[in-house]
Amino acid sequence: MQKRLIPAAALALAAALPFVMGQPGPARARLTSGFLAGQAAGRAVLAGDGTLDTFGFFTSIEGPGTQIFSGAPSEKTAHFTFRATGMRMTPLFNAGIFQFTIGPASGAEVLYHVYFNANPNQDFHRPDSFSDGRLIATYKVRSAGLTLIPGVVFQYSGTYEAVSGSEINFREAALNLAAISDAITVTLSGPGIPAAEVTRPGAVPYTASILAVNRQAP
Amino acid sequence: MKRLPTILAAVSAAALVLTGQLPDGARLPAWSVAGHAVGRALVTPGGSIETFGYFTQIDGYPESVLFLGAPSEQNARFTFRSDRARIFSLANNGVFLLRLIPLAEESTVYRVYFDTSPDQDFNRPQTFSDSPVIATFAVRGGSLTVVPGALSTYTAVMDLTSSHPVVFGGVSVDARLLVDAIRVSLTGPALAEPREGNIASIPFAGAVYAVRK
Repeated sequence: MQKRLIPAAALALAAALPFVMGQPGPARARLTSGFLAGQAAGRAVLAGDGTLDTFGFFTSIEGPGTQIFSGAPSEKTAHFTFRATGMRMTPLFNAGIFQFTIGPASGAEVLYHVYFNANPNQDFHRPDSFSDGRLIATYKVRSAGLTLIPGVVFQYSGTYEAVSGSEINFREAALNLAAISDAITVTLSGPGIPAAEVTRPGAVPYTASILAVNRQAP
Repeated sequence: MKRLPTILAAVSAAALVLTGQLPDGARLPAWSVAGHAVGRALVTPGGSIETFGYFTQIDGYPESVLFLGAPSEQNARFTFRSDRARIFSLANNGVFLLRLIPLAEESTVYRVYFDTSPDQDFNRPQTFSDSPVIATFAVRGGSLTVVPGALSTYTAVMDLTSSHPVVFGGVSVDARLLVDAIRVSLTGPALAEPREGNIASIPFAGAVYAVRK
């Protein structure tokens, strides 16, 4: 069956999480708000029931930088991955463009989970492969929305609060994402699907930037 | 414990807001998403522009506060409208950077309104500015990039210059409790030169981020 670019989906994002740390020794100081904590790439898959599944991997993380792959950088070799709980998007139409508000498909909130996989082997056709590593951090979506210019581009922005995290040792450095910032702001973009395909099942690729957000200056 | 106050927003989209689960007196952290907005930009053949619209989301506010009924421009309680500005274009090999210069005052001002009985219509811009002003923002710096045939993106930072708190449904709305300024990032289809005698209406949507000084 031919896969279609998806809808709306898009969005959502993914994204997230960031950070990490990296230097050996004492816990690293928190990042200044607005600091680029990481970058990511992923997919948003819209299901026939209108729910959205987003997942992906980190291409860089402040601290270890880009040395976060087990081989040549790709989704398959990424040590740090993420996946969100199900979400549902509600469209607002505005003369040819769309803005989507994003809420949980079930439950009270959308969560993003970050995983560490010492022996990565992810495949974009197997979303579960992005969530079978060790859970190292969880973020709660506080505020998120997506703009779609059909046939051109979609852009997503959201702020996620860190709700839990556990320390791991990566390349001989302590790493605890949740200790680096109180929250993160994720912006991502990808291709804009045609308006006629907004509600059709399919998958949309995206890339993301992740900024640190802290209530107090470090 | 009661939900806290809140707030507001602004802009070209813009605005902000506030809430409840923040620590006492805490403003939105810098770089966090304060809200999202949708609107229209009206461009005249003479090269001036004004924008208006409504907030689709404000951090901390439930949908029941943002809208009177199903989400739409007609039902939005938080709206905004800007002063008119003049467009000065800088060409860059097919891409254009548009500087938006205030027509009258030192800065282009965005006013945020709170309408307890909303009835906005994109064909009647004045319906987005016919209720009490709850906050004003002065554009500190901003510009519009146009990639012909593709899209327009507007980015600006706006200082909060006044706040007029209101209480609605037991929720306090006071922009000053929330932000010092906002950063607005909006996207829409490529801006086109309006035909002689016509005013072009360009849709846009985007996000508003908290800025702290």
